[in-house]
Amino acid sequence: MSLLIEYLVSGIAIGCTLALVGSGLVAVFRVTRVINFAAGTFSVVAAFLTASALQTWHLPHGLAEAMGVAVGLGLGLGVGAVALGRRGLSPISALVITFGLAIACYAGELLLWGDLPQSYPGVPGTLTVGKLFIQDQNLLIIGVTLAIFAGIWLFFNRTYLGKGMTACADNPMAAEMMGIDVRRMGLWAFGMGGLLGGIAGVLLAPIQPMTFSSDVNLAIGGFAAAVFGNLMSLDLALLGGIVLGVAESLVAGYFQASYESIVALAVMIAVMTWRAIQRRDQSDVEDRPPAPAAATGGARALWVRVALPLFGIAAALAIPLGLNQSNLTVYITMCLYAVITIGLSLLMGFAGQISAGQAAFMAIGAYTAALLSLHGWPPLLAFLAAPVVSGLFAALIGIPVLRMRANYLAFATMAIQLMLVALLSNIPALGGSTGLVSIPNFGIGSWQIQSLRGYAWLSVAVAVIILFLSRNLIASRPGRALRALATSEVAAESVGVHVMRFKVVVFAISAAYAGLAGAIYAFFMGAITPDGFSLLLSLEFLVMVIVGGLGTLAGPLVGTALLVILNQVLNTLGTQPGMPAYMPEVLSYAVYGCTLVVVLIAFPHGLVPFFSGQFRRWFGRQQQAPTAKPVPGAPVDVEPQRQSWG
Amino acid sequence: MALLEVRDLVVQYGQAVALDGVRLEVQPGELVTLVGPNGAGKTTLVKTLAGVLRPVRGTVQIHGRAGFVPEGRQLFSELSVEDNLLLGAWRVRSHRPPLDLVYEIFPQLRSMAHRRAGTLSGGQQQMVAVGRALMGDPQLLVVDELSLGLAPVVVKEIVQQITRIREKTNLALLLIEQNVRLAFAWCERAYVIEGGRIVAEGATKALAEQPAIYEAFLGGRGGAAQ
Ligand SMILES: Nc1ncnc2c1ncn2[C@@H]1O[C@H](COP(=O)(O)OP(=O)(O)OP(=O)(O)O)[C@@H](O)[C@H]1O
Ligand SMILES: [Mg+2]
Repeated sequence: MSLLIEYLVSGIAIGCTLALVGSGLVAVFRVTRVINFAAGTFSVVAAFLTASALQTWHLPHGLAEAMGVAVGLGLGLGVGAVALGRRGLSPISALVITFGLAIACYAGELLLWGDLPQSYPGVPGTLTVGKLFIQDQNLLIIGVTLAIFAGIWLFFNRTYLGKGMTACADNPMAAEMMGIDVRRMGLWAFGMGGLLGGIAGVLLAPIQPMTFSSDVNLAIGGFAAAVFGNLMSLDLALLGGIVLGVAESLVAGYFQASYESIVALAVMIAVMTWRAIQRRDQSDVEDRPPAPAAATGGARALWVRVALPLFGIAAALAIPLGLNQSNLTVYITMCLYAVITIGLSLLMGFAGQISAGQAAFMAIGAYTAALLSLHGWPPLLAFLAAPVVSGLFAALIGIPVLRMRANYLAFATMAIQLMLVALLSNIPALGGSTGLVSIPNFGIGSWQIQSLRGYAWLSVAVAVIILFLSRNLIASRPGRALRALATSEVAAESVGVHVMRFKVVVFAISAAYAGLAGAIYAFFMGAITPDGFSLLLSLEFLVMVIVGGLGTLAGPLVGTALLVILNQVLNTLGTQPGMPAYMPEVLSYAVYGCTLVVVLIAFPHGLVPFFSGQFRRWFGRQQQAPTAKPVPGAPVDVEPQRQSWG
Repeated sequence: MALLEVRDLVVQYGQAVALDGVRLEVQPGELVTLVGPNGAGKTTLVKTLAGVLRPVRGTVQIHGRAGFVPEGRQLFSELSVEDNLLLGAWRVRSHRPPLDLVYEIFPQLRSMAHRRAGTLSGGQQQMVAVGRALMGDPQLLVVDELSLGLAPVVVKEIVQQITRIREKTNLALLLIEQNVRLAFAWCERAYVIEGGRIVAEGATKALAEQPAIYEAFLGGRGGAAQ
């Protein structure tokens, strides 16, 4: 009994820190409609800095914590400045920028503090009531959190400044007309997010040591808490945080600590489902995706439509003939990743949703194919089952999550990503952390693929088929509906497109593509481990698509090719002698994170649309000018004097 | 000195030119209307005056305070009516904003002070939008599409209330209106904008007699709707 109460108290304390992170998310969302992925980063950096201040520089308590919180605030302002820096950036692009920054911060954290967990003593002492022992730190956390929540609640609901900030997201244009500096308010909101996240981190580190990657769990937990209040209401976020914290603490106490993210995900999904059932009437917070780059132009010369693709296919099929073993592996990887990124590009470009967990769907496909064929299924059937399972799983998640208009899928998929890796490593039947081995080769009947070159041809064939399927999908009637969806949800709804259903379908398709690639990967590798499907891989897919360009088919191909090559270079660099073991990771995080940010700010529609636009401009095809199209959902009108990016 | 002076204003959306060398003036206390077909650039001008859009070239000078009623009302729909009104005074940061003044002009709003603005009817929302613009104690009121979607009686009421305020203060008005008949009857001077350029200007009486303008805006069904 007393154990239960202790779990409850520590759960409430941890929940309070999640609620603090969540309140930071709410502050940013209320003012800017941006979902801030870097919310957990503020906490981690603040906690790390406090640890250094206490243990390395021997500063007194109080000062050290204050420094940590101040750094959180500064980081919040910095992230805000970058995410809101460009006028007319859509909330979804800003979301990806915060994600990129969070990832780039990983690199900094690893370099400065290494990969060991950091902690420091909090308030010493325990409160003893009978046989009950409650750490004073827990009580401190609960007290501080309640005070802060009261403060920010009053700020947003009772002060003029707070109302002015809320008005910014409610109607940015009108706010500007009233003379409210929308971007400055947004910046302050990010500062507030940094401050709140910093406080959470500084309070949490004494009871829960932190590593550089704790921020993902914190951000997911904070998000799940904030979802209770639809990212708008502070009191519900506090309640959500506490429910979540208690649930996690009970699960960790009675089952296993690594299931934390599963709890967060389960709670998140449950809340969203409940909200989705509730809602239907009121206009939810709306968030429209960036318009995809102009669709494939109308009448093109015959040679462009027929000869060029044929030539491309022939070349793609011929390439394996000229490659040696290690280059063949790279080539296969490229083809498989291309299949995944084409799906992600559809999802991002047309449904305006972001998945930070495509590697998880790849894993589902890979494990499905591997398990089935290990249990004696013919490889072909196992291969075909993989995309089905991945797609169904995605649809199941997507139905509640995609009902919410705002971009909740990003967090949900990230939670899936973490959960899946944790689950796979913990289930003996799935091979635990050593994964599955001696997966048979792919084959049909008695014919089997025996060589790398054979897998290269299989991969390239699948990639080509997927490419054509997707092309036809875009050109079809549902495809046109998708484009309507990408331009305006309300408009799409009014011409009778069932927005939610389409989003779910696109999400399922993208997951199915990932599952298909995963299946080939499993056969080709012969062995798979959970670590092969990390968050980093999901991040890579995201970078590939954004670099290449959303809503196009050429974009992901180019992005994939560039990134796979870049990856080789980074690996070579990171494994130089004398480098710490985490160096390749540092490099990848830094490069991918920065790439996301730079590309989104400099080429918001990706490289391929940008360069094809330039190409057309230079070579004088007059019919161009996809100019003047404001990014829908942009906080303010496009800055008129700015050259458009088309 | 003119209250509002717009000189050679050029505003673009990307490459598309929406305003091309617009000049316009409003004197203190003057009633001016700006008319033109759909897509002529009227709303663009208002947004530029309000500082939402930045001009590529040219200047906007406002020697005094301006209040804006944006096209389509644009209330803060999640905030209460009263908060909407209060935020209208953001520029002046007044500690005793003239809430009562607005409630005097639009008495029905008083009972709705704590309702979410998004739940009001169109006409009521327009009243809030006008009230919000008046909260900053403006010398110039810029109204984009006063009568859009409103019943004639409501328009009449709002016009009457604005006229009443003008009896007490020297409020100038820049009115953008599709109902040109109403606009010309009310205002002293008019500008006609087409394709981002001012194509005619002058006293409304004189303009109304020009055949081309009569044809385009006042003849036929142009003003007969109300
Ligand atoms: N955000 C925008 N991005 C690109 N073009 C725009 C944008 N807003 C307006 N335009 C274009 O600029 C031109 C002027 O538009 P504006 O809204 O100023 O017209 P208006 O005179 O107010 O028309 P209406 O009477 O229909 O309200 C139009 O051709 C319009 O299509
Ligand atoms: Mg207009």
